[in-house]
Amino acid sequence: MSALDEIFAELDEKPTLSQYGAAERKLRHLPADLQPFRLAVLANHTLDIGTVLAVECARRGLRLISYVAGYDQYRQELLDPNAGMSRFGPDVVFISLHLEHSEFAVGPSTCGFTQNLPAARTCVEKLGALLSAYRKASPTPILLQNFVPPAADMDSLLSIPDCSSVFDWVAELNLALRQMASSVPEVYVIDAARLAARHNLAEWSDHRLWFLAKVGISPKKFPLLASEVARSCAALRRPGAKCLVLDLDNTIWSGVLGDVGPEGIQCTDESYPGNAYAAFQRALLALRSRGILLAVASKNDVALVDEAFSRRTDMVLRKEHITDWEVHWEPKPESLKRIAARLNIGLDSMVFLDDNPAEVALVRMALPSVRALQMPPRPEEFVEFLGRLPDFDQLRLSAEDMRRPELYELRKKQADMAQAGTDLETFYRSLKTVLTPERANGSNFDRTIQLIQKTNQFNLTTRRHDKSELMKRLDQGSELWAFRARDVHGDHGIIAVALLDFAGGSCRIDTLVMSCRVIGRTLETAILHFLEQRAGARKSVRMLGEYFPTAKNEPCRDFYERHSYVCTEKNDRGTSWSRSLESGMTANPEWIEIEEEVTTVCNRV
Amino acid sequence: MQPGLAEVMKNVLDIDSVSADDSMKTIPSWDSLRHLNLIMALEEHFGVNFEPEEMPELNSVRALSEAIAKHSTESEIKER
Repeated sequence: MSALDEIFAELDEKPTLSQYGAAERKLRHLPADLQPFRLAVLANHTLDIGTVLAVECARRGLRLISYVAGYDQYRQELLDPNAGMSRFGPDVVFISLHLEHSEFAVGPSTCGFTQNLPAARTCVEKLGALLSAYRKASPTPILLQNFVPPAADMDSLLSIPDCSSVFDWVAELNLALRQMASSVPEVYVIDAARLAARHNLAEWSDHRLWFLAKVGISPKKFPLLASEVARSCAALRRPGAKCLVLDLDNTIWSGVLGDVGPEGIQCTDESYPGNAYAAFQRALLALRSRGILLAVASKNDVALVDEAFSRRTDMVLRKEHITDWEVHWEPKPESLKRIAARLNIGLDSMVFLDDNPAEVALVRMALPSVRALQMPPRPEEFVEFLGRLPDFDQLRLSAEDMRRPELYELRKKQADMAQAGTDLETFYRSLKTVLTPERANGSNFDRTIQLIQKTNQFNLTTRRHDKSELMKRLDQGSELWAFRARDVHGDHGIIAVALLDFAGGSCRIDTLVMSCRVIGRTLETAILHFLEQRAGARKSVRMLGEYFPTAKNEPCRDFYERHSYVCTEKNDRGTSWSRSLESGMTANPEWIEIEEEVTTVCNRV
Repeated sequence: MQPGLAEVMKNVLDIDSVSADDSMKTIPSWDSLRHLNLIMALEEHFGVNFEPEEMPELNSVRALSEAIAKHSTESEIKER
């Protein structure tokens, strides 16, 4: 057990405020490998949550550096570019607002009905305008806590026409808040209402502290709120898991298939425990619809598993929902490695679930980067268990993410076709690929940043530019291009991004990344052809590029060499390449059609 | 001073030692904001409930110790 784990084990035995203080003191002196993370805390109530937040952030690999704004200073901090928060320079802003503050005027005086309360939409509109104003000045993500209904004045029975209870009104407020949050970029809701309801709403606020010092949330509840905030911070920092690998027997159905046969396994709604497994399978499908790939690693007879999936048409999960299979009697770590290789994903983006503790232990030992977890002892707990796994937290969910399972299905079909014995060029032609370059704009910017941040394999320079850097470069005259691809099998969405700098007659490829899903179909050649055309249009006479090797970007090592660029420099970091455009350009492969740039109305980001 | 009082104070106020004569005047990190977290941490640790009137008055180790003793007896009587 590491020193860090020991601190948390001790804390979790007795998670009191005093122990949080002790843990924070220990953490501060621990030379642990934590990523610095700057969080600004804004509130319209007294919220001294820094200590607990620091501990919960450390639990998720972040070393918290916090800025706590003065009481009720949140508007000034958001609007004033010279306020303390801007000087602090946060990675994320957390905003916690309390309803009983005078600006909302909800409290014991409202006596449980909403006659004198402002319309929910009006309250949220004001807040929305504030956040939009901040967004114009800064791209920093915001975590916005939603409103917790006051527990105190809910007890009277009332029936007044045209009046709803404060409880209902807060629900309406929170619904409007969520809609507003989704309309302002990079605003994410911290669902404190759900948290408070789940953990004794009556104790969420301590009336003594509220009336004494406007403390809106009882410090005894800080650990709950801090965990949620820290979890969101971690989710903003790290990409979520991409693939969930499942065992079969007693994990997705009840019973051992080899013993009871396809008709004997239980996983339908008729009775317990089958209905609990059916519910779990529905939860798995929900994950899949959010873009998580489902795969199976089971020690079973492959023919029998096939039969179970084809005969049990009453089962929620269908064969086509599973992206990859490893069904045999070999060790599961081998199965997981093969799945990762075939799906072209890292082991660190896989989660493995099994009911057998020995299998889980083996995977943990052999493949420490896979998150291997044992199923809870009882099937009725499965759905909640899955919901609580932070591995599948996704705050930024792009349309491409959601389509991932479908796209992998496409790729599989293509691989099957390519294997069917046709020569490569015939295969390329059969795909009828269309490449559409687009200037980065409001609608594709999230995906553009995501590709720059996440692409490892086809990434020439691995420069992880963030939004503000990209905006700066655009202002300086650089061009940022996103490339869409579609073919006979469907639309792949945005699959590549390039950033071009122009100076002194040269066009420099600062960044070129391409999704691993489309490696090996000459799209990179078509993209390079397009980029050289752009260079020509901007009167550049030569192209410049670099390749910086990393542990993962071998697939693009020979990119410039393959396209007849000349190596001009070689040093510890990598190689530099050049090509004169006066002696001709890279030819576009005949089998790829490049669509004209669609001029969009909103070319600005 | 009750066993545990010094421990909670060290943890919450982020200090290395506490003596019976200490107060808000002698411990710089013991400000009015942190005071409420300290009060809550003591309630949690000792299983007591302070009155809002007395909370601002509990600004020395001695006052805290006496209040904890008083409320501990109360909650024991209630339990019986």
